[in-house]
Amino acid sequence: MHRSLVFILALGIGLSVGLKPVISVNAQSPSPEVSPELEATVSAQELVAPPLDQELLTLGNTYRGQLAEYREAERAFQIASQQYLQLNTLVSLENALQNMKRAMVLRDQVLITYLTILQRQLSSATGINLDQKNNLSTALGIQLEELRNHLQTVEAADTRDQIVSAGESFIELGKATEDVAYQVQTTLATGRLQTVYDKTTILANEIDQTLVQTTSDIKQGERQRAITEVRSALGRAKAGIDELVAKRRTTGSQSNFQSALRNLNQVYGDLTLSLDYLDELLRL
Amino acid sequence: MEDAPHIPNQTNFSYEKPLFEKPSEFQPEVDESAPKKPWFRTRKGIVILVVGVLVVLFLLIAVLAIFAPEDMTPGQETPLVTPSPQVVLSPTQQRIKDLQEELEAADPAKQEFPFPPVDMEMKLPDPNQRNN
Repeated sequence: MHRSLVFILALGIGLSVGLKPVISVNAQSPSPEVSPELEATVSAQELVAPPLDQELLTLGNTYRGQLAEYREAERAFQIASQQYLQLNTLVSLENALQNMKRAMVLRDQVLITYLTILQRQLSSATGINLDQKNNLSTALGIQLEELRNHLQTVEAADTRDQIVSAGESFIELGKATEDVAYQVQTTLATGRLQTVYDKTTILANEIDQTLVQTTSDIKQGERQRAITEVRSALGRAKAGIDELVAKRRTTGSQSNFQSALRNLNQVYGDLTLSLDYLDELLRL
Repeated sequence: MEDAPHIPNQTNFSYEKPLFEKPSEFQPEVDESAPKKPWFRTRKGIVILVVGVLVVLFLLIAVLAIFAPEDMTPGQETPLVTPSPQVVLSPTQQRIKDLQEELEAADPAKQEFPFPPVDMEMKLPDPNQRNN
């Protein structure tokens, strides 16, 4: 009796396993017929990525790795500093100096990579005045050179005085680096919004000429009012962008960047509104 | 003389049971010469058969549920997969959609690379200065 039960169960499992490949083959839908042109396009995109994006991707990964290393080194230096303060021994001093040197080296490397990223982004950015782009590119180049020099100084520092001196000389350099970086960030953000504004304005003009002005039906008045709202939103965005461009010389430092960010958010909101209005207008 | 009325046995109580004696049971006569029933004709055999068939059915249903195609209607062809979007936008609507995506990517609140949080004023503490 038990053998019979086992036999029936084995039969059931065997049927299930045996039918699985049959059913799964039938369940598989036939391979979709994708057009050869699309296949070729997809293959090409997979094989050849745009060089600048690839470079930025590599730099971004390098930057994140260096930043993680720096954070560890900074923590180690803080611990070593506390120990030196408490113990005041030669060993603790040596430990603190070594950790300080390592943290300074990594700090310089992080900033060099970061400025290089900004340089790449700036070179490919649109919506930025050419003179402004050149000026910022030059400023970035100068800061990069000074950071590399400082890195060499730190790596060559051997005595306590040299290491401490390298740390003190960085304070001004760091502030200048921060100013340039925030100027570039503000300019890049403004440029992106400027590009969207320009394209949106062109589109609004086309819609106005082809749809609003030429058609004449019961919804003509509604379209006129809609395009007026679109232009009003675009006008506010333009005013915000002009204000940012006018302030660009003073957009260094973090506090100024935060202030610029508020303006940028306002411009972003106005552009979002204008695009939504255009979308609604087309559906009238 | 009339028959005496039937008086039940009142000498034993109902809860009195024989303690050590196994009450005898009526055993039907077993005819050993008669042929034995096959196992699947016995009551237990029938139960085992029914349970086994139900198990097999359950396993088959489970396999079908996992691996069966979504649409088993015979005669219906699998639709051709094409790359075109389900909602067809006019060229102008597509331009608006592209601009909206570009604007979202330009959101100033989203910074891919904010300024690194590094200590600009890293310096060695002076324990002698603290003690003075």
